[in-house]
Amino acid sequence: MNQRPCHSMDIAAFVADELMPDEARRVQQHLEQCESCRSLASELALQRGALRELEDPPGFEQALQAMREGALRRLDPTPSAAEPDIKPRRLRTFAWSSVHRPLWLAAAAMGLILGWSAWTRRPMRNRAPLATPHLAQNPAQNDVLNRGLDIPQTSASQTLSPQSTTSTVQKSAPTMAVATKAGPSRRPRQPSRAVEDTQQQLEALVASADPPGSDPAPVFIQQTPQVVIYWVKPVRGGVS
Amino acid sequence: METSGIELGAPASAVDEDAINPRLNPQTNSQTPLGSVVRAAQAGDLEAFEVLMRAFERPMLRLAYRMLGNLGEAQDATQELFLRLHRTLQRLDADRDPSPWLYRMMANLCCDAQKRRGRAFMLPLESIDEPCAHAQDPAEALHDAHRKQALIQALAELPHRERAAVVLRDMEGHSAAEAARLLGSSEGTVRSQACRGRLRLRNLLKGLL
Repeated sequence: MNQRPCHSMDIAAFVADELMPDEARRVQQHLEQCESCRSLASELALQRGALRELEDPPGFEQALQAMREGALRRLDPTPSAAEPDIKPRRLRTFAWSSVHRPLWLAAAAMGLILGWSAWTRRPMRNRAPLATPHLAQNPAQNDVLNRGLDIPQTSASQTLSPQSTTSTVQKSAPTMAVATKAGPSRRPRQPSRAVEDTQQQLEALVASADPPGSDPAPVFIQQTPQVVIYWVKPVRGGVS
Repeated sequence: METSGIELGAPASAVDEDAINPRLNPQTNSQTPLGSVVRAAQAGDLEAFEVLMRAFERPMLRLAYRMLGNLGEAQDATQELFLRLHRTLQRLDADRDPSPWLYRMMANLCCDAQKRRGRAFMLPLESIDEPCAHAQDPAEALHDAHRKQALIQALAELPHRERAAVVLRDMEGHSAAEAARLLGSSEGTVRSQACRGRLRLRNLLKGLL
């Protein structure tokens, strides 16, 4: 105290009446002489009074009651009063956190789009063959058609249905035309005579399906999303 | 005054509930009604536990509010305190005053709550309007409101050990020995923490009081 008469800790202890009598007396004597320490002591006394006057906030009683009722409700062993049995929440993994969840959902959506795209662009040999009553009635044309489009005879004959109507021809003929035009996954080949004949026969079929005097049936081109995936194979050692 | 193994700065979750140290409290309540209430609560009497809770709920909620500066968080912390008390009731010595355990656990729970909240301070809305509603002079009411806000905010910015010491000594009026007993610390430590807290508070409130 004698070495550091202006130590603020001593002033703070003096204001709170925490000093021994002899120490308090020395601080009192110092305060009578030091203006800055007197100012500090008056500020600390004012602060102490303000802290004591700080009353309970509004809503304190309601919070007290709510706290008590909530605690007792959670402690009550009777099933009616107790809270429903809350199972511990399953630990949420980092991969399924709120940050990564949109990424997973976007990846799932992208997978659906790719799958649908692949399904609609699958090779023609796996697709259901053309079923027209005209072809069923003409085995020679049917044979030519199947040879030109590489459609197995068995599947073509299985799908040929006598219940098919003219409207079926109107719907299925354009699809066949598009498939013949696109043929994306088949190996490239020179258009043979049989294919050209087949196309001409198809056009004739479409024209014959239309009633006389009406407009030719509209040709719908099936639009599929063109999704191109570039697969870059990693090269060990880098690219030279 | 003996000190317990409970460190005030340790998070409440890390505090061993076996740390209800009867040596801490020289006062016994074997002959007081509180002792019989504790025994009845240990026997599973929920009404007795409610009596025990009512005996301590007000000072605990007030302490939590002054430590946290937010009534909602204080309510949650107080409820958690009594739930923990109920869980450790069987290990509580009925012949001892449970106040030191409650105060220390409350201080630790408030410390944990403040850590979870981060350093962001949310001023409770109720503390803004209330003084204006009761004061006559609007200027004086505004000054009171500002002073109260500043006090609550500055208190919340103190280190939790100093805050606990200031709250118990300067706000709740406990003696240094009593505060040391409640906080499980030595009297000299509580005095120095309270002095440091007062000076820090004064720097934070400079010119506002």
